Amino acid sequence: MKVAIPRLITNFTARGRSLGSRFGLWSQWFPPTPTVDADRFQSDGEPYPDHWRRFPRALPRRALTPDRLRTALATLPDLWRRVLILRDVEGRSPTEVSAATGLTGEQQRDVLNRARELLREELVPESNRSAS
Amino acid sequence: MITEAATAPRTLARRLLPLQIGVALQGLILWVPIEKLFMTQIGFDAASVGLMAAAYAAVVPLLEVPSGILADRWSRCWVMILGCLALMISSLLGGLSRNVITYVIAAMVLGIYFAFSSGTVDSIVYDTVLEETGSNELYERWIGRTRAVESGAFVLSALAGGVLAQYTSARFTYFVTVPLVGLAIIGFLRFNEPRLHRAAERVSLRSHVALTFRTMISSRAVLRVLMLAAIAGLLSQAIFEFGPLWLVALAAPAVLYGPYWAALVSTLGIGGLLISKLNLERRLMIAILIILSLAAALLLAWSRSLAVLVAAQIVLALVLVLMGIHAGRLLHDAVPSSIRAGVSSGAGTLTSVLFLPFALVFGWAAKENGVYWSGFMLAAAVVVVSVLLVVSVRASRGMTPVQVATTAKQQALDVAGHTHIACKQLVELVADYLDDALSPELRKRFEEHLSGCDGCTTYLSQTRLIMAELRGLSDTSGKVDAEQQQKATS
Repeated sequence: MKVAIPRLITNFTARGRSLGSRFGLWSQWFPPTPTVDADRFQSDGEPYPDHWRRFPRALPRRALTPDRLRTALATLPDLWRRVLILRDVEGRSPTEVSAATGLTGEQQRDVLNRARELLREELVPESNRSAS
Repeated sequence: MITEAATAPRTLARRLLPLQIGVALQGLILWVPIEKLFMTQIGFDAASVGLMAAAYAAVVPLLEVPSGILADRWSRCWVMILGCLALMISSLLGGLSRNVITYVIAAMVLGIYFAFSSGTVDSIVYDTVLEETGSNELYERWIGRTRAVESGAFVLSALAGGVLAQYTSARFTYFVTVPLVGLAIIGFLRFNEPRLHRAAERVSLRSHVALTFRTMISSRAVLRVLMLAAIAGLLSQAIFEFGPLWLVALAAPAVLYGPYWAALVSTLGIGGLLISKLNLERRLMIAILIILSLAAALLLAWSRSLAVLVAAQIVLALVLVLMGIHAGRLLHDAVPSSIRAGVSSGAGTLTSVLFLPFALVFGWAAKENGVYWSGFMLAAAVVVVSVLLVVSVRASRGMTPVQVATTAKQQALDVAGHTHIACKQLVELVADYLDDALSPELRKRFEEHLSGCDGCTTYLSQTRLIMAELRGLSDTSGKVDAEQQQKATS
């Protein structure tokens, strides 16, 4: 009790409302960080600011076996995986996915962009973020 | 859509049962209602109670972040179990205490328990619901049930603790608590913990904290509401921490502490119910609440009647719960949704930080001048809360959330809106491009960049390749969903 009580009150109101709305759920999984690590792009002092520092590595087709894809899928946060499966695996329309997840089309695209990039990093060997 | 079998709610209930039993047993802390009585018996005075409260308030915020990380990287259940162990050690140490120092140490160990358990159950329930049903729709219902179980345990332990202390001794309630919490550990051990972990949250922790902090200090309106929430929290905390000192001053019998504490704790639930019935936007309602709370605080300074004092505390606690919840809502409306949770935990931390000096001064003043004099301190804090409340409510009328959280994508769109796209912006817009959701102008810029950039061409073709292969997955096996779900669970 005691210290916990005022905290319970604030948490109760905040969580009750944000988790209740699906937007809150989405925002939980969607941090304001860039899709691709900022390190992968040149910074302001370099010759081509905001351009690739090193081009993305080749993605060999053999890297994309169903097993590897499934393993990579399993590493995604739950909601992202769900959206990705519905949209890219099952090929459902944004409207159907909205009905199933409560995410708007725009939110879905934001999630998809991240999820695909995470998959790519998982599948491309020596990709920056997974190596570090 | 994913695994929405009809049996999901029933298996969910069965799965959550051990967790709820654990939560209930862990809420049976029998010594809480008579703590101040016991502390007085072993030589505490108001000043050392203040010191203890401050020491203990300092531990919780220090440990909250590490406990969150531990819960994410290791196991939430084990964090709960560690919390229970801390509670057992604290109860045992408290019960064995014969002087101030050992009891303060026991209180600090109790701080570990609170840091470890606050919010952990919420996320366990959330993940379990998500894992069992594939959606978060039932979360509200289950977290509500879990909270009801917890508050039931609090009220029960308040009543039982008072009775037990009356017929045995205050010290005995500490020892009885230990095996009960031990049983709670068994509940948590038997609980099948969800395996879903939130990888995304870790990556963004630092930038998220920075963004949250910037928002908190960026606008005067946010800062004001934040202070309102924090000071209302501080006052609630002060009532729960120091309220029993009035009873000690009047030498109330131990058996009274039980119902008193139960009534105090139940204001939390009652406040939650009342808030939906009352409209705190209305001037009249705010005026009534302010007058009630001021009157209650002043009665605490003047009255010497046990019944009046208890009633005043309960009224004050109730009004503060209402104000606290309303402050939480104002705070909620004042910040963008992506950082709400962060900002409200920021309010919690601010409460602890403010409570530290407040507790020390309050305790010292109560010792020097008698606990009644401290009623004036409460009244002063009530005045501050009232002023902040009036100003915030007035300012919040017609206010829109402040614009802060610019995501990387928003930045990319801003840049792309008036100049050429660079690679950094292009990668944010890939999904929009593939969905054909870009404006014709942006689409042209996107394609212009693509035609001159090998890196981005590779990037886009890889994304397309991955999408094509993902589509292939559904042909090879129709039930990827179930498999994925299973893989994540096993």
